[in-house]
Amino acid sequence: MKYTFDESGVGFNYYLLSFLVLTVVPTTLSQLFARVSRNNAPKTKKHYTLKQRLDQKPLVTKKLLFIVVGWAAIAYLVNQVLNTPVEPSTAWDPFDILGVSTGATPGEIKKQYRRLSLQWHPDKVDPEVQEEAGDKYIQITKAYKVLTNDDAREMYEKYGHPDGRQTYEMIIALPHWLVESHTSPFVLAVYGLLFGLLMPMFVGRWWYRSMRLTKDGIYNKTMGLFFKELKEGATVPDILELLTASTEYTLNPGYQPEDDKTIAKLAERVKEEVERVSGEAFLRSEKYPSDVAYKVKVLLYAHLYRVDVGEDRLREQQQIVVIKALHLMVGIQHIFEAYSWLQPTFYAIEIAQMLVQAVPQYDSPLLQLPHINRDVVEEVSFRKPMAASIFKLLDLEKSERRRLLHCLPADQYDEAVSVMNMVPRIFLQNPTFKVIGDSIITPRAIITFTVDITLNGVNAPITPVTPKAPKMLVDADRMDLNDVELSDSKDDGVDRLMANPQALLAKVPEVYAPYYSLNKHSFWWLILGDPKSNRFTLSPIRITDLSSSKAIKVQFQAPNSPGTYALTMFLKSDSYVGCDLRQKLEFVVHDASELPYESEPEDDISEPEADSLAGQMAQMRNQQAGGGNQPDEDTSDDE
Amino acid sequence: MSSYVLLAGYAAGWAVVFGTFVSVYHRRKQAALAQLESWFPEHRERELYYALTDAGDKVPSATLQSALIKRAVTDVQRAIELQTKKQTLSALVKAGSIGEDVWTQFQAAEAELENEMIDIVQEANTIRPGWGQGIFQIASEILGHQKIRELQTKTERREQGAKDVQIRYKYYFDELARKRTEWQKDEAARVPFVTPRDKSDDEN
Repeated sequence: MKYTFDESGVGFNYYLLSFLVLTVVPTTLSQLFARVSRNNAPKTKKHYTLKQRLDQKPLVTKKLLFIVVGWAAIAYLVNQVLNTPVEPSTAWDPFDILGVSTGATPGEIKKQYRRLSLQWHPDKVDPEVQEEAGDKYIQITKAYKVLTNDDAREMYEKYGHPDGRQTYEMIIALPHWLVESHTSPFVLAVYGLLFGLLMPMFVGRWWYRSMRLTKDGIYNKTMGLFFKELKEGATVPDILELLTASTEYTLNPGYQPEDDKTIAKLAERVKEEVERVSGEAFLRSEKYPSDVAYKVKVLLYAHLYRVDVGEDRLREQQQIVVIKALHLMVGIQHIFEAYSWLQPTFYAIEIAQMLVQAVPQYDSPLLQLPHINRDVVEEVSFRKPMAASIFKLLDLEKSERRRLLHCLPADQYDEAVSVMNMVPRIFLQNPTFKVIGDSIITPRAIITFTVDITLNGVNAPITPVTPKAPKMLVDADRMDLNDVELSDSKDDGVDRLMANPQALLAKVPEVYAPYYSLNKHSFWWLILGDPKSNRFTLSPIRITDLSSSKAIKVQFQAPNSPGTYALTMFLKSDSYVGCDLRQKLEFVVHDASELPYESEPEDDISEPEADSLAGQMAQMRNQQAGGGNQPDEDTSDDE
Repeated sequence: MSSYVLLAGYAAGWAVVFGTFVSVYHRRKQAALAQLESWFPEHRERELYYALTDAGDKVPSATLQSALIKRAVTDVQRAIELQTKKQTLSALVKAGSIGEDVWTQFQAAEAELENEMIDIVQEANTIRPGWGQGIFQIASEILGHQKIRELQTKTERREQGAKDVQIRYKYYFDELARKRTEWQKDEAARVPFVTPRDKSDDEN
């Protein structure tokens, strides 16, 4: 056997080419799709849009450079491969040498051999081609021998050549210059540099960078601080104050020398507004007195209380602060959830609502609407204390609503009403607790909780009022379903479907949030818990695909002892203030002995199968009739 | 010959690479440990207590005792904090929501607190034999009182703050009150309005 190196470089080029294609093509694809997904500009009105990209990527990234260079290299290599002549390594074929077709008869072969041997006989050709002719003559003779002599034929059939086994050639797909002795120090050096230095360096850098961040992309230091400081009695101002001390904010937006003046000036105005509205003192934090923390606090409160920060530089930084704060709230909520604290988790969710809508705690949800400022809210809530929520306002008669909002000009009023209709209004139906396969809930059984959630407020078009449909008021540009009570289960099914034409529209609506500069979609949190003990029954579940209606199904373990258990189901928006729903529920846990007697599974096949099926049906009917779960009829909008 | 030189160079190269790696790794680890902040802020009560014992016999025993109790109060508070947080922290670290270094901090704090408590019992026994058993009982009672008092001052401060705001922004609230009386008059003059909701309720 003989080893040679790839002189022409074709094999090596093929190897390089396949390697390049395998890396460059996926990178290119990912780059292309990243461009598409990043293009999600908000469709609702924004007061200010962020100019700076938060991930801060330059136009020409390393990835882009790699793609360009990669494709160039591929083009070059393809060109090389196409232009390098490859010697065809043909097998030794006696018919080909004699120039006869494969199935030629011995007569034909003999005739052709005669002709060729006369033509190529070394004594008969010109002296200058004598050598070539000699070779050719030998080949011709050999071919003839193979086709006529049995021994030679056997040799040929076994080894592919009448002379027996030929040398076997292996070409290693490495160019010759790579293995020549005088280049070996360089090759070694490059290899050593690559695997000894660059690779550990990159791995190390990646490792240490990833060690600084948690799974949620928050700095370890920040999460450590959050964990140390958060207590069960944490209030909204406490949490906001804690946010300002995050490491994230020291990096971006940080504190610039020119902030000395601007922040002090802004703080004056923020202080006045905050103190007047909330009645709480607004001061530099005693716990986190750093300049950055104070600046972030001022910007954050300026956002919540809608104090104009005056200049675009601060506006930009304020948006960064708010967007980051929403991210940090994820971490804070994780901590609360790990403790299974109910009220603090609500605060965390509510802070997210407040940040998206720029509405402070305990303030009117009407502030989410356009053109409605605090003075208008003051008047509306004084004149009609019952109408201080968006839905109550919508339920009023048209003229009455117009009167309450008389200070708005007609166009502003129309805009406000159209946004009112965008605010999601949620309805619950058929909350049930059930143990699958059993008629009653026994201690420690796995309870399956199901509930249907229907969303009616989102751009609901006018639906034809059918005689069977529940009482509806068609007003402005929205149909009102307020009169469909939760307990009203006889009108279920068809009517509900008809009232929900957007059931087909499987798209989660965008949130109307003019003070939050990013595109935000409306998601929901489902929480089961007991407000008295301030604990969850079940960790919050995030519902991200609620566009019209959805059946939710969750499971948890029943308590250890029989009795009636009350728990409350909370449905909270992650982006609107004042749309949350709370529903008191209860379920009864029976003693295990009350379970109908189930015989041990028997081997006896004689029992008719229809019987057991009927039994199952009966059991199912039982379950539907009485699960011991009678929902209370009070549904109240949270706050 | 040259191949031996090459071999030696190669081996030396790898030795350098590994050496750098190990040294960088250990230096970073050391730096991280040095940077590791303690879980709790400095223990002022302990410092005060040792300052008093260092002052010698001039300090009366009663002062020393109350200083030790104060120190024990802080320790009880810390012990409760560590105890309530331990399980949640380990769950969060396991889930990846909190970094490993916080867990290291926590364990260091635990170990330190354990030593501190043993120390207190010993000190208590030297001041008054047999007192070591009771000191934490007293300390936890004091802690309970302290919490109630803190809550009280917090509420008082908030009330005071609200009062201050009323005075400071008097012009605004006066204006609001004026508007409100106007609205009230306006509303009173109107025929009582029945919302559609009320109507439907009447029908039923």
